[in-house]
Amino acid sequence: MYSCRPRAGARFLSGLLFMALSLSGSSLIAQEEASEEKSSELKVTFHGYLTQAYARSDGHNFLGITEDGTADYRTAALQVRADIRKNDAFVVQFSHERLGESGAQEIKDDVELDWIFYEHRFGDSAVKVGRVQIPFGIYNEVRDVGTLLPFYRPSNNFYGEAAYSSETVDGVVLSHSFRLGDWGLDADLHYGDWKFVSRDFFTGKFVSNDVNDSIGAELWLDTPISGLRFGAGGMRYDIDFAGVESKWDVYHVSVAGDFDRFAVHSEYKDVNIGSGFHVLFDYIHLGVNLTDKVTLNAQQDRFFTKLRGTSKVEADKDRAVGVNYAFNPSLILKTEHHWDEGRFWLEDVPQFGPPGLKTRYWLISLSTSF
Amino acid sequence: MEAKNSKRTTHVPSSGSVRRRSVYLAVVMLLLGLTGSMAADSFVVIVNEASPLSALSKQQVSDVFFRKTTKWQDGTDAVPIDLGESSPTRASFSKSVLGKGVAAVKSYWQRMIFSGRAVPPSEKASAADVMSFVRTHPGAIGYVPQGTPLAPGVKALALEP
Repeated sequence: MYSCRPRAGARFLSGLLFMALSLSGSSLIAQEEASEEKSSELKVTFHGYLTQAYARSDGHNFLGITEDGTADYRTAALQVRADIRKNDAFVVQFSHERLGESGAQEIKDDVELDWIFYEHRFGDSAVKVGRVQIPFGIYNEVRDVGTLLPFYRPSNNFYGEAAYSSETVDGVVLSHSFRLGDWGLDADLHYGDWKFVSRDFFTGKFVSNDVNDSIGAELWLDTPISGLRFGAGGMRYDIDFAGVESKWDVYHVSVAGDFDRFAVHSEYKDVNIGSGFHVLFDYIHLGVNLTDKVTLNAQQDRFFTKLRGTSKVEADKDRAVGVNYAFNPSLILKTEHHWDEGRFWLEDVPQFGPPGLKTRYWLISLSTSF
Repeated sequence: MEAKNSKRTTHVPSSGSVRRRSVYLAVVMLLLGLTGSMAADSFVVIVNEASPLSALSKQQVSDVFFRKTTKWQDGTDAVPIDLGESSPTRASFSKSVLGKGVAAVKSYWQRMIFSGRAVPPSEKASAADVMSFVRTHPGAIGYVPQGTPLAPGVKALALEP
């Protein structure tokens, strides 16, 4: 059960890239021919982020973090956004990720296409076509943006690079925002395919799985209390997992409270992988801003399995505390200490074995974005 | 029973109890970040002189700056313009109108940028630059420090709670 950025669909993407470039190219030509006022509508912006970490464990290889320590641990991305006209945009983002001594490195390219899509807005609605981020939970769309995360990464079990859901979809996302007085409701629908990089339960190796006809919905309710939001969503898809084709369902509920002095985030996810077998994830994060620059964070992050008619079994529990120092909102130094209990994320031991295997690991990282 | 109730309603809290309640209230207000919003506004919201607007609520201005409202009632594009991150006027505007500190607003926009949804309002280095932009863009809305002499072509907007 590991990560999930779509890697294939190359033919679809090249076609899309060609279409998008043709579109933006023709727009550029059109812009040149238009009046000065008209051509000023084209706006190209560059954004990016980088998080560089040094990580070390007390023994086991936890997701590429070993006892010897590694500085080969980072995420980075560069995004180019072209607002072609007021209601049309073309966005592309490339990313780079290193996970130390993790076997996941073998199936990751050094630089990958994160997403590439064309967006058209009409009123409070928008449609995005291409490889598009899926709105799912609090962090799905920004799971690698260090300056937005309390720890190096969001809940490993919920988002993991894994957890049976994807960061992006090769397809289409429709969005609509409703305003009801002081309340707001954001609704998103997605349809398409993605690739699902998971970890084989028996061999522990990283494998890729095809997900087809993924259809899902996401709702986020903004309350009149500034910073307090509630979310819920789900998706259903066909998957070829370990040679078996089946239909899986994923549901989640979320609450996010981001206030001046403190923050609380909690999410619960249930993945029904058929035959009465469920995989459950939950986490809670609490953050307190001790000063304008210093934040204290604590998190409990869990993963369970459950067979119908039986009690759930804890497969992993990760407890963490950390201190962040923000030089400014775009430059943040983080230190964190994790106590993990379980063997699921350990890469140097079999996934099946006596429970209660304990590992401690530490990360110190610097995140920046622009 | 009646006597007890009567006694309860006329009960005068001890000074220790009052002090405790004050401390609790202060802690709650501190946690909710309410203290900052009590400060007087030290900015003036401005629009183009040709704009039919004369007053807006803080919520309406906030919606424009968060790009939740993209057009004015007359169909003109609403174009918000910010001062730089380090401006004390921006800090005051951010807290009073947007309901968040500059860092929190910055995080909001980072989330919007990296989820590919939107980009933040443009920033100008000075009040003069903001006024110049507003003067040349009919749908623009900005803010300048309280007491700044307004340039021709711009007008102040009354800000309703």
